[in-house]
Amino acid sequence: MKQEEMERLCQLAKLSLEPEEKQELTQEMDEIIAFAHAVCETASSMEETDISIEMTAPLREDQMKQFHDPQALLYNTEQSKDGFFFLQGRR
Amino acid sequence: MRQGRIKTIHQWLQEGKLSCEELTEAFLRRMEQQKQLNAYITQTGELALSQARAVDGKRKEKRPLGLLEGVPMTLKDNISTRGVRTTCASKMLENYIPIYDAAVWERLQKEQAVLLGKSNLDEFAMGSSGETSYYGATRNPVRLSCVPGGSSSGTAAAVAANLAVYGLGSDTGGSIRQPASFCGIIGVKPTYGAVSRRGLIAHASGLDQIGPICATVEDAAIVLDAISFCDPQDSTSVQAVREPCVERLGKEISGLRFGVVQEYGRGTIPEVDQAMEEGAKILESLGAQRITIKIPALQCALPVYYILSCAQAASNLGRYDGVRFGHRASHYDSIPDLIGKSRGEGFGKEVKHRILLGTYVLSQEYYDAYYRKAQQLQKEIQKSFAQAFVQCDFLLSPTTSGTAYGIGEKEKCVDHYQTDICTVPANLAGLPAVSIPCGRDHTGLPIGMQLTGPKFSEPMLLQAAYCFEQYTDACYQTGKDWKESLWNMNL
Repeated sequence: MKQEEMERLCQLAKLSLEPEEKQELTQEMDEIIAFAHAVCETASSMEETDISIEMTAPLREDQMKQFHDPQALLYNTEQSKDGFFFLQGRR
Repeated sequence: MRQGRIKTIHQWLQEGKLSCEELTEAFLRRMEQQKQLNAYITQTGELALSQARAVDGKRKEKRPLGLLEGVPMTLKDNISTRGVRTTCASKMLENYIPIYDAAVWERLQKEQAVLLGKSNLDEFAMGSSGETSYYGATRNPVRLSCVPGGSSSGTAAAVAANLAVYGLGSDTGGSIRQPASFCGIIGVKPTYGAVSRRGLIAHASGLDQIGPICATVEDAAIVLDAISFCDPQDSTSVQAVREPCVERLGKEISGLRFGVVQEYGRGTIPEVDQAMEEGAKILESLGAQRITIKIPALQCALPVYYILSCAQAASNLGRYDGVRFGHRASHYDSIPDLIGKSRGEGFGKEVKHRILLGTYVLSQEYYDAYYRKAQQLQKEIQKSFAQAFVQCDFLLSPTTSGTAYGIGEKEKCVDHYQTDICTVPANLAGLPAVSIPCGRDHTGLPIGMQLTGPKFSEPMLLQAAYCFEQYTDACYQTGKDWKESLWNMNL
């Protein structure tokens, strides 16, 4: 994997890595991708699936409900303000 | 027939031999004594004691207790518990406290279970050894220098070391069965959709399932029956008509056919092959018929699994951006910089590997070659299993090709991936599978045997596992003096 490709991958994955970490991961990704590459060389004419089991559950009706505790949604954020998640533009 | 731990405790509590509070205190003391195992991330002593006292109140009123009432247990720390920290063994969720309970925990609370704590795991359930936790590696109680397996490492270690009577883990590619195998206990991965995933912090939504990790098959059957229900708040939760697993225990298995799968290959140590052959002979002596099965599609199961699971994981872990919950970077220049740094700081190495692989296979240039192809091969695997189950009732294989290895022994992540070779196919096909101990290697480390069945065949699988267990006493070897050791736990 080239450095530019790793840079783009990190951008897509929204991962900021230190230069040393990026270099280490670039080498390791080569091994991992080589491991996954076996799939590319296996022929298949099957239609693809996105489920592991072919059974479906009936969906319940869409019913609007008031959430019982809107404040609870802010419980795990670092900063909140006036009922909003608060992010400072630059720190 | 030998009784499992849950019924034994139920009997003690019902007969008043000890109180639930005494029992819970004994487990909490033992957890303190066995801290070197690092099986727990969060201990919930006060909660456990208050739950125990509630059960004792009912006992004093001479009201009958349910089977799971007052039984001390543990939950893998990726199962949401309202008001109790749930970390996924990650720095990203170090201080995360869920505002709702997972469906399985709601159900077990109705059964008056006693929660001893949240058990350790590989970070975000990504791992096969128990070494990738932000809170340190878990140790195998059978041998402290060895891994307990993963990702439900702490749950398996806790049950094997008598730090909990039973636990719930999660299984995406073998994360219940493999640690159960390495620790010499029972692990059950249910059919996909049999157990609600509501409140399970997602790894790969199309593959994840919650299941029991227990010391005996009877315990596993009791717990599995308790947590299997159709949840209208989980759209992948399926209403399946099946009898309770406990009702099939004790029935003979004569007439059942089991297939030995050629594609799983030979074990990495000869004792695994020997144990499988002996296991097959025992099943035959119990009346089951052996046949040889070929499933060529399984040869590519491992890379197919890693492509699909990493793609799903990369999508699921996109929610961790430091905004609404989770670790937030303290220094950043912009919102995108905040998100990148929060994720870079919050995730461990193996999680980053998997996010990067998932992103790679989903990217425009590689989507068809990797992801779409993997989806096609997943369909092949599903079809192959369906054809196999025309010829036999269940499949027999090792749970893993080897036994527990030393902590730090495997350095490369792809070496870890190879330990999943026998377990991932069941996840790709959504099928139920059970791991049961079937022997030891020459150093004394446990070997696990896996039974895989068609969808919703858990009662039949546990019936076969129970027959094997009762015949071999394999499970009871790990806890032969369990009753005595439990009674002697400074009660």
